[in-house]
Amino acid sequence: MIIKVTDLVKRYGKNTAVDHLSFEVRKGEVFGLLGPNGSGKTTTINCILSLLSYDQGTIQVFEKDMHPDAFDVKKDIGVVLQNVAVFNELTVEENIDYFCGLYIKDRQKRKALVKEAIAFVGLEKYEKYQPKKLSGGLLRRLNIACGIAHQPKLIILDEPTVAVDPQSRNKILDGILELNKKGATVIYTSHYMEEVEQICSRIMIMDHGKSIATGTKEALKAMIDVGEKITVEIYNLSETMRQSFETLDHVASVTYEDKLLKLNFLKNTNNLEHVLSHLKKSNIPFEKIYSENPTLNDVFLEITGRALRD
Amino acid sequence: MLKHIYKYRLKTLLRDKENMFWIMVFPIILVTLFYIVFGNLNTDQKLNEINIDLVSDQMPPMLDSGQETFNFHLNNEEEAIRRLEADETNAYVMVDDSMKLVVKNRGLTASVIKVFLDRYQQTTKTVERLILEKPEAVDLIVTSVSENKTYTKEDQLSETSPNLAAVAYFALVGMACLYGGYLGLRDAIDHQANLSDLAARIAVGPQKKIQQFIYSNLATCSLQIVLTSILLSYMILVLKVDFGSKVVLVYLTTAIGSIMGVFLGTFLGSAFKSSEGMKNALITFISLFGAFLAGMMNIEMKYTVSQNMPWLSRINPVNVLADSYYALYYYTGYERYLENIMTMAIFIILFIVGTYMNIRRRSYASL
Repeated sequence: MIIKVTDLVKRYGKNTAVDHLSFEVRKGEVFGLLGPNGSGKTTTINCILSLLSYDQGTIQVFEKDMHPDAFDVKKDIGVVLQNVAVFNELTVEENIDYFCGLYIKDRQKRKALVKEAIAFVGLEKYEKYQPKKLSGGLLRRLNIACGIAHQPKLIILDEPTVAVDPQSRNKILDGILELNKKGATVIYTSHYMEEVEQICSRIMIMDHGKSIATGTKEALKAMIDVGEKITVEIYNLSETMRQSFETLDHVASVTYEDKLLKLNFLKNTNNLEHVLSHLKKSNIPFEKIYSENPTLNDVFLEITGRALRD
Repeated sequence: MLKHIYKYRLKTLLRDKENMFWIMVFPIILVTLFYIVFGNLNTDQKLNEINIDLVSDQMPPMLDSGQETFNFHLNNEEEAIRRLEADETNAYVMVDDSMKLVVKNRGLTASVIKVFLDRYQQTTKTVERLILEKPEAVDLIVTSVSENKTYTKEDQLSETSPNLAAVAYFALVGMACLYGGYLGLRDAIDHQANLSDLAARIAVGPQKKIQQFIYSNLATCSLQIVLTSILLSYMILVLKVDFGSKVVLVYLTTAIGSIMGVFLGTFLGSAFKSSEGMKNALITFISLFGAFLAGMMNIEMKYTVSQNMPWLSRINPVNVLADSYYALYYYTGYERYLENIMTMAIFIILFIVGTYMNIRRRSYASL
């Protein structure tokens, strides 16, 4: 077990930011903490890192109690905090070397690691640039390089893609998967469900400081009744024809609005095939048809009654 | 680790253009302006020689020697009046029993001449009386009057001549030393996780926070000492500002003042949660207002504060520092100097203890 959090409680005055939270992170996985803003993800991370004191509970990292002076534990952790934290006066290379130097004393070894980190985040052209000359996306990449240059066993990334352009975002996500393939265990917090779905092997969904569901994305989606959603563009559909779709297997609901027929299924097995077959049999002309599998937002919506981005 | 943190701290601070301007460039510009303004202040304080026309055919006794302040010219009355009208002389005196003094304008010069003439008349009358009463002692009397003996002993407090501008220069160096507070403030903000993201990032590293903080402080203090020493060297070597003969102690005092400035900044930086701008403003206020009270803008201010609010002089770090230079410059003894050094040492200890108490927290209730 890489991390074990048991019954963690963190209060800010009367507000409970983390409410009796327990979870484990296993070796070699990319563990996602997903939840809307204010759900307690960053507070949980800061408690794990001993930046924040907490009111109740225990935290173990690498099977050792975590506390501010647990330096033998901290040396194997790489941290990429939510806000970019670099020295504006140092260059890209110097910033990475500074943070790497807090973990690696050997200068030659460090030099190689810094070069590797720069290449990893694709900042070779910007080595001598100061942070103020970098775009938001490049800054985020620098922030990540500073956190991972010493090649830690555990990497904690707290919303590393906030305000990042799509190109940088893909680069960052690919990089995280690559680090994981090299053996690092990763904790990834985000409120972007697509990212979490894309890279995390196991996900914990948080709301109001509590864990509302934990599992693989497949397991989480299986927890809810919502299945596949199929949308068909039809210019003209009578009420009788709309009702005819309700007779299909596993259909939960059928609506027709603005020339779009929307079908929600309880389970997602061969639904598209059944719909296409019904359209052909009933001789209904259509323009486009597309299918969407349930998302983590549907899981969150089903459990909390709110969308993730509410 | 010390070398690593020290090196990068120095690089970071040296490339911080805004801080470098205020700590290094601004005091140099200010002291240069001071030099231009104060350049002729001391020469202006010297009294000009006073010209006096004596309406007489011959020089009266005891006026013809030993007078550095007055230039006497023998003239007839008509010529003396013309010279007075033409401002070629400051006054003329009718050399007779009345010793009538004629001046064109009232003022300091007229008063000085009047006092001199009164004293002259008193002395000559006394001498005349003594000669009449004891004619055998005439040589002794004339000798003792012309010797102008003093009957008080002068105790040499200083080897240096008074310099009014020195007070302002000393206060300015004191202010520059306290500007090290800007660097100290950065040290505190960069190492307290509830004050900056950078500090939070550094805090999750595998080192004792206090150890990292001390290494950074070492870099910051050494940089500030170098910067203030450059300012001091510029003043002494380029502007030829007189700091007295104890130059080594002047540099040592500057180093102590610089350390005091840095730790004032770390203390204010760590003492309470507020914006960096607000804390910078506080350091500016303490340095600038302290320098004002220490006589940087108005030389009389230092004495006014010392006379009316001596406690304020003792707790004003700029004044304590400026007064150390003052003590080294004016006094041959070290009592006053050591008293100031002790006060600065107490300030430094208080600031360090206060900083440590604030920064020792290893985790925070909120970030």
